[in-house]
Amino acid sequence: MVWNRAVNRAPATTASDPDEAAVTRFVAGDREAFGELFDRHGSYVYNIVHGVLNSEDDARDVTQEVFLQVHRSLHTFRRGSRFSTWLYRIALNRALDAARAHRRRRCVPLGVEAENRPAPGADPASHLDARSAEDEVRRVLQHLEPRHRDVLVLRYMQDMDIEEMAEVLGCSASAAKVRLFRARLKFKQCYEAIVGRHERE
Amino acid sequence: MNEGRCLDIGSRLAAYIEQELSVAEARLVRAHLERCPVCRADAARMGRALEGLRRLQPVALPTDLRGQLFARIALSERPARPALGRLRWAGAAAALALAVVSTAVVMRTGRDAGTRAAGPSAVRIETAKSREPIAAMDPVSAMDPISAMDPSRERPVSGPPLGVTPQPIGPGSAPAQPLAAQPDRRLASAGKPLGAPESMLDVADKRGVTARILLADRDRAKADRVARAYWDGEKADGVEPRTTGLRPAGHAYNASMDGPSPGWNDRVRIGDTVTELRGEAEWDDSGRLRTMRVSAETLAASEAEAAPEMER
Repeated sequence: MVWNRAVNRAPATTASDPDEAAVTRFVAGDREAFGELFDRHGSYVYNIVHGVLNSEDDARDVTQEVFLQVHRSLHTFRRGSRFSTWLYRIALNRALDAARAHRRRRCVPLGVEAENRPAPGADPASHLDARSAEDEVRRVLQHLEPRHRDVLVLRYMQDMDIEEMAEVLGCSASAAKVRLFRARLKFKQCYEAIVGRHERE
Repeated sequence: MNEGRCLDIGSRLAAYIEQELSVAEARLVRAHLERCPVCRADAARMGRALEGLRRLQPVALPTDLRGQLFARIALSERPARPALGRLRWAGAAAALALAVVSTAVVMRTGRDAGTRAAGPSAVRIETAKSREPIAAMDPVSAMDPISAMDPSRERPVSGPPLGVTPQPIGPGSAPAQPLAAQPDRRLASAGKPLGAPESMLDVADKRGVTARILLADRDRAKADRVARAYWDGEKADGVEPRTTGLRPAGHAYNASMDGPSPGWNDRVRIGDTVTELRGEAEWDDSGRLRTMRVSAETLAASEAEAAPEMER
């Protein structure tokens, strides 16, 4: 997969902005233009959604919902703002909605991870080795509130700075900063509780 | 060093590690860390946690997602069916429009060994107002039949099934959309409007092979329970089911097959009323459900929502 983070740092919309050009063509009736938009942003949207939901099935569903919604409402997109910001905000909101719904359906208490514990008699160190550190981090993320998870996803998986995060989150830069601060703190606490416990075991 | 100072530094540790502080603030934190082993240890732990976050790699976009998405878009862009006319509903003054949607949630098959006969069969079911299905759930061949299911154990979880009685097709009553010529084709019809979300049709060919089509919008938990009941029934018979999970699509839930899911339903919305449900199913001679096509017509919850569809 080609992963070009630069798209997250796209310059403000200009006449030469390929997204704006594609939106214009789509609104004028060029259906192919939507494919271009998907090809440019599909991976980012999928990663935002996957970061929040940590489930391939759910991420797949929600990503499709996001693009269907965009397809339906692209004609309402306000020119002058950045398409990617608009799109990522929709993606984040959809993902958070799904996360909340998921949370209502199934509550995973912190620390209960029976399925992840090493088998009796197994070497805990080898168990730890076998598990990808990345999986561990993703699992820790799932223990956070969605409002903490989302900001970490944008910062660390989408590589956004405070201003970009604020745009996507729809808040001020200072509010985004506070949210990020709290999210990091929560993440550290959960990380220590889960990873630290495994290490002690 | 006083406690307040440590707390003050603690709130800046993450930003310090991520180099987000101003030069003056960073200098302050650095100086404190040099003197305070407690905060130093805390900073080390924070550093490890953040390092984990920084190592997160993007996940690959599933290769088939694009195709699925554009299949759904194509489905959503299909021209709406012609209006059936303006209807009044529960005394409402506003007329409502009809949209044609396609949906299917749970499909199951069962068979009654005592009445089975050899040879392929096909069943067509339709409500009084037959319309062309706009989408096909195909292939359904991945689904396994439920073996030797006792019909008496079949009880709807989310409401009574509609009274759909399979009826043989008489001479000259060929259905509007015949499947490939099948000697056992039957017609089942329902003469009353269906009511979401419990709309379901049970159809059976003369061998007792049944297929259940369930439309369950609004309540995913309910749909899950229905699916679970079938799952348990199948497990009880030692047959592993292949019903591939319920996926949310708008507010309706469709059975999802491997590959593109043309049955995705993003037009059904909460409050819509399903007025007609129609489907056809075909089994092979081993009783395995081969294809199933389902369509539903809904009354949109509001005329405003449905009106643009009508104008196309």
